[in-house]
Amino acid sequence: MTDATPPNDRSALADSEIIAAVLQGDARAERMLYDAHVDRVYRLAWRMAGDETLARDFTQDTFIRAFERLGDFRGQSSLSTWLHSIAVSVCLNGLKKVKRIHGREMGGDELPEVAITKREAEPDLKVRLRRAIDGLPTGYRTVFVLHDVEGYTHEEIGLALGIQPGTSKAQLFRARARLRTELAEFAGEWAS
Amino acid sequence: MSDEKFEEFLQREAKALYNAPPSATPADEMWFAIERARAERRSAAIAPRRLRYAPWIGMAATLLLGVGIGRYALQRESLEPTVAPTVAVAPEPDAIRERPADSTPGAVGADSPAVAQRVVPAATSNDIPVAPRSLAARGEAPRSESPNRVATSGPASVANGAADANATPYRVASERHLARAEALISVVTTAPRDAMLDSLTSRWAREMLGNTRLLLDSPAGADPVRRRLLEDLETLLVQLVQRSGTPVDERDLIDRTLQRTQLLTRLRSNAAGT
Repeated sequence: MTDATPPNDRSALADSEIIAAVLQGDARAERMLYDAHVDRVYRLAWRMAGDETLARDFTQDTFIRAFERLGDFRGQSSLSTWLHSIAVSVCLNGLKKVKRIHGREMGGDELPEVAITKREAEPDLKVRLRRAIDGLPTGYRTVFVLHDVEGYTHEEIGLALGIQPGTSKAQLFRARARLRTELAEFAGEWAS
Repeated sequence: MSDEKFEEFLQREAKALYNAPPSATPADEMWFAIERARAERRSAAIAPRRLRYAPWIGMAATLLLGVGIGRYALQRESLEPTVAPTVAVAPEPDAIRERPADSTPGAVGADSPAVAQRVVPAATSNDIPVAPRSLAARGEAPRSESPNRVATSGPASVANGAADANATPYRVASERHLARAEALISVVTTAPRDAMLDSLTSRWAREMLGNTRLLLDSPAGADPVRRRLLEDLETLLVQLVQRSGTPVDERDLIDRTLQRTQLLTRLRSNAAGT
């Protein structure tokens, strides 16, 4: 994550000033806060959802919740980390809901985990990789996407998911091991 | 080595291939949607909140009305004895008893000898008698009051009567004020802690604060017991006024004040005693 480094004094001050202004009802400050973080939140939502409509919904929900709860922000982590923890929570809950609806519509038999079994018919790496990642248990997938795809540190993942950094590391290790098994056919791609 | 290569491959390919987001973020569109959703939530939140508090406001109003009616009834009863002593303080009780029914206009015993018998002993024993209700109800007491007072009272009793006449409105006002205070404190202590209700009770307290100060400076504040009551009430009202939008500590302070001063109990005792 590009802003994974601890915020320096200047950015911390800027965050606190923006937060204070937002809490006083300053509409311009709200927009500033939004502009500063919307790209990364939207990217994260896209990565988690893989769908434009869902990504937009999740991003909007994230900021709506953030503005509602900004008064509770105590500055124990950076504003960015706090915001991303909301985004992760919104995405996971949203995806759970979508999965439930899909499960009802499809009779619950064609969830992503099941789709992986058809890998012989899908020689394309992109499709296979996507299916393999989608087939990971939610916890593994979330840690994998946050760490390997979006570049979050284990500390940030721990804060966002409410788990220990060690747990995050363990889940990432297991996620990679599973993916390695699932993508064994493409071993030549990384061995070369 | 193979693991490292796999991790590099996985990160590279996943970044490029897995749910790759578009390069442009539809920031403005999402912002408008966020603003619209927040505005809708705000307007949706206001209506149910009003409905949620409606029963409490209704109950508070009913309580106030009930207390007001009760106080009014008590006031009427407590006002009646102020007439009775004048009627009863007769210099010649025997003369009243023996006077023919029609010899004095509006004589106490004119209609009912039993009433005259009840009044006269009270006068002789210097107790403050309770005025016969039938008399007050018929409005006959005022007729008997003037001749007796003029005939029998000296300058001192005239002065006392004037002082009583001046003090009575203040006393009545203070009793009504304390009844309102009792209703307010009942609402504060029984209702759940809630921002909107706090705001209502704060406004109520602010209205009462000025009158409390006026009563303290009036003859009603001369009575030491009532003065202490009004002073404690004033302290509590100030805390209630300042409570709106303050942290929980301030509310605890109010609770402690109520506990320490036993204000509600004292107000109720005061109401029962009048």
